[in-house]
Amino acid sequence: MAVVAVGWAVLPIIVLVVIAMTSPADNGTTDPSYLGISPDVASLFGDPQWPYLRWYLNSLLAAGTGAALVTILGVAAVYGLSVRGVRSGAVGSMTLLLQAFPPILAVLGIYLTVAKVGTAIPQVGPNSWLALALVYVGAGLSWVVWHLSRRLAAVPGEIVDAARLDGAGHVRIFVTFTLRHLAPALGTVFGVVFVVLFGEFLLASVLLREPDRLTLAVGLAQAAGDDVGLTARVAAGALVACLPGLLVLAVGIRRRAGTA
Amino acid sequence: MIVARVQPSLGPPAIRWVAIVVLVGAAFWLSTVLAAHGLGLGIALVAMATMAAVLVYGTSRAVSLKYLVPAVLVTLGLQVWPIVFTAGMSFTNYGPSKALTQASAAEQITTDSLRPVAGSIRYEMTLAVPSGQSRRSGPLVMLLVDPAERALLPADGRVTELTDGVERAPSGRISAVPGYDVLTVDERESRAGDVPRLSVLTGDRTGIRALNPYEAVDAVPTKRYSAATSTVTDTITGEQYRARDGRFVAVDGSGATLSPDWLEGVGLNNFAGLISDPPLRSAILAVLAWNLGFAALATVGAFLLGAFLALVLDAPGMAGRTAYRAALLIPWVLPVFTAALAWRALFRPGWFDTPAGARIVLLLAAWWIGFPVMLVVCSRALRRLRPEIADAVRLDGATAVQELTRVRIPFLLTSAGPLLVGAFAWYFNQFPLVYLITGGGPFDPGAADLGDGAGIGATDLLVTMAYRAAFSVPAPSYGFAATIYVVAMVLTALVVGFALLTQRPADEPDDRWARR
Repeated sequence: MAVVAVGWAVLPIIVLVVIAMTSPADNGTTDPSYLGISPDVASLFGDPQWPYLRWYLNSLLAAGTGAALVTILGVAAVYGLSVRGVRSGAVGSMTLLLQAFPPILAVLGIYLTVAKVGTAIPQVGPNSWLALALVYVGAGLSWVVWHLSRRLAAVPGEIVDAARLDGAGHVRIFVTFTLRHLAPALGTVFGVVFVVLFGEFLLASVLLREPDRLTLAVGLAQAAGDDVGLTARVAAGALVACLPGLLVLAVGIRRRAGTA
Repeated sequence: MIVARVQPSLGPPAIRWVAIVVLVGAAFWLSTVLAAHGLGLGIALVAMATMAAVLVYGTSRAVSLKYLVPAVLVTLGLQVWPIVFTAGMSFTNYGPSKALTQASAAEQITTDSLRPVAGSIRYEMTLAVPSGQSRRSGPLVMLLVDPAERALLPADGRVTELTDGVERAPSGRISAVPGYDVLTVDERESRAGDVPRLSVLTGDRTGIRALNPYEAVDAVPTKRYSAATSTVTDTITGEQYRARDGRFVAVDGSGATLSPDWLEGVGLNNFAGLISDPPLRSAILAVLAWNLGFAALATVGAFLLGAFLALVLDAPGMAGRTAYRAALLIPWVLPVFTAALAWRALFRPGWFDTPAGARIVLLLAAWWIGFPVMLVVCSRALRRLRPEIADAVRLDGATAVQELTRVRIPFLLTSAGPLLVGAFAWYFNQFPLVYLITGGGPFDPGAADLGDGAGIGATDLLVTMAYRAAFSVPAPSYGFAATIYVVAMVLTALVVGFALLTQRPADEPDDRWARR
């Protein structure tokens, strides 16, 4: 039973491995008699017409910067809310309300705004991974605040009161108490957000158009084309694109095992 | 004992003030850049944000705001504003080729009408883009050398002589000017398609037009705009065009119009357009029905799968639980596009030709992508269930099946309630999966479409339909696409609003059987 479930969970990976190891000539036929690394896969790197490593770098930069910024802004906001004495239930309602309007529905407004800003400051205009990262911050912030506020609520507040009575300033309380107690949660939040952003397609496809500025999601989806089907090279590229996510999962499981 | 001590809030005051000065300086620099590009609204927003920052960080009070201001600014600018902008657009005729006002439309019409006259002066032309703009797609600028060897820049309704920092090639052509990136020969050839439209007004009755990628010529407008009467007159044919409904229409009744149109409010016309035409209305109702059905079936299926696997993993004596759990979480961490490509490849080619086949593939992919989160939440819920409850139920003579159906499953359902609503909203707007697997298809060639060749497919969601209307047709109507987004917003807000009203705050569990 469990084996069937695991097979189902990794089915797409199996599909991609099979395609990546099938020669282009056999691709799409029912008899993949040739198994081995196809010449297509060998050209995964180092083909100037296919800037795969550049896409990989763009994806890492956009997702990494976005996830780091959103985590930092999120933990600061959660601390600010707790100083104001806002209950985590109220934060939950507030952030849920914001999530009623996901960025997927605001993509037109996002695109036109970034295009307009880009006419003055191209560094945060279309085709810039930095603009994409900033847009990601806006997209992920409400979820991060919601998640962290629940985690902070579970931490007893007496220590903070005691520290405040001892004359500790808010910077010290933030650093020595909030950051320290939320550190595991911050790692989790960063990992989860990073994984989601690394695979994000919609906003990246709208903001990035020039071939060497694309992320993996947009570049590989374009390469997969409409009717050509998946070539061995695209399949191999998609497989290598799974590595960061699997790494995050492995780290998460290890940490869980360590604390449990 | 309460110690009344003055606490520096962000390091020593000196550092704080240095930071504030740097911030204000950056804001000032940003404002000058924005001003140079005529983005007045942007300057106002930068000024307000800077003022808020100085007020909050300049005092040692307002502690909570110091931590909240960045998040609030980001939320306002990157989440609230795009939503408001999109919603506002749905009441307009906005589109990418539209001018913002009648006057700017008229200016573009006049510029496009520039024609050289006999004996016009010719210029040696160098193509450039403003520094930092994309060389492939940025706005082209003409750098000219006239017969008297002067370097000229035609822009903003006048011709400026360039003096400082101009570098010339041996031929006399301009090769570098501060503030502009000169295109290479290859880049110049690649943009040859933009050259025929390259022209600039240099005065009320004069302009300069590019002849080819290397030469430009003095020209005069053959269309003239009168703001007083809101008319454009063609000086060659004598034809008159008058402003009506956001465009210039020929007064002779021929129906001829001039491009571009300009932005105007259209009230609820876009919404009326969705429902007034019977074939389009039924096509959109079909999309809505599939959209709701997809979200409901995907949510229920993913939950059942996740709950079932959670119960299996929770069974006592389950060996290798951690390994199984890790493997089952893989769909969560794989990039969505990877999975979409694989699902599409797996079911090629026949499945996507029929609506039923395409929908089945999408549901399978949706269950696959959604069950790990359900599994995690259900496992967590099961761990909160006190073991004594199970023991007590068993002691009362319940069978294992009864314990499952009467205790565990109801407990799972109450714990997962809010998650189910969230998942429904998530699936309802599940763009990447549908777009990358079926693209909204299969399309029936005879069916109604959204105009401009944007069809409506059997697996289209509101979000994929709106995306196609906004981003993948030659002359999209942003106003109309925004209208579809607004419909999706209203429906999503209804679902989430329902959740807000019915949900117990997640951090105050009052489940009778939960561990505390």
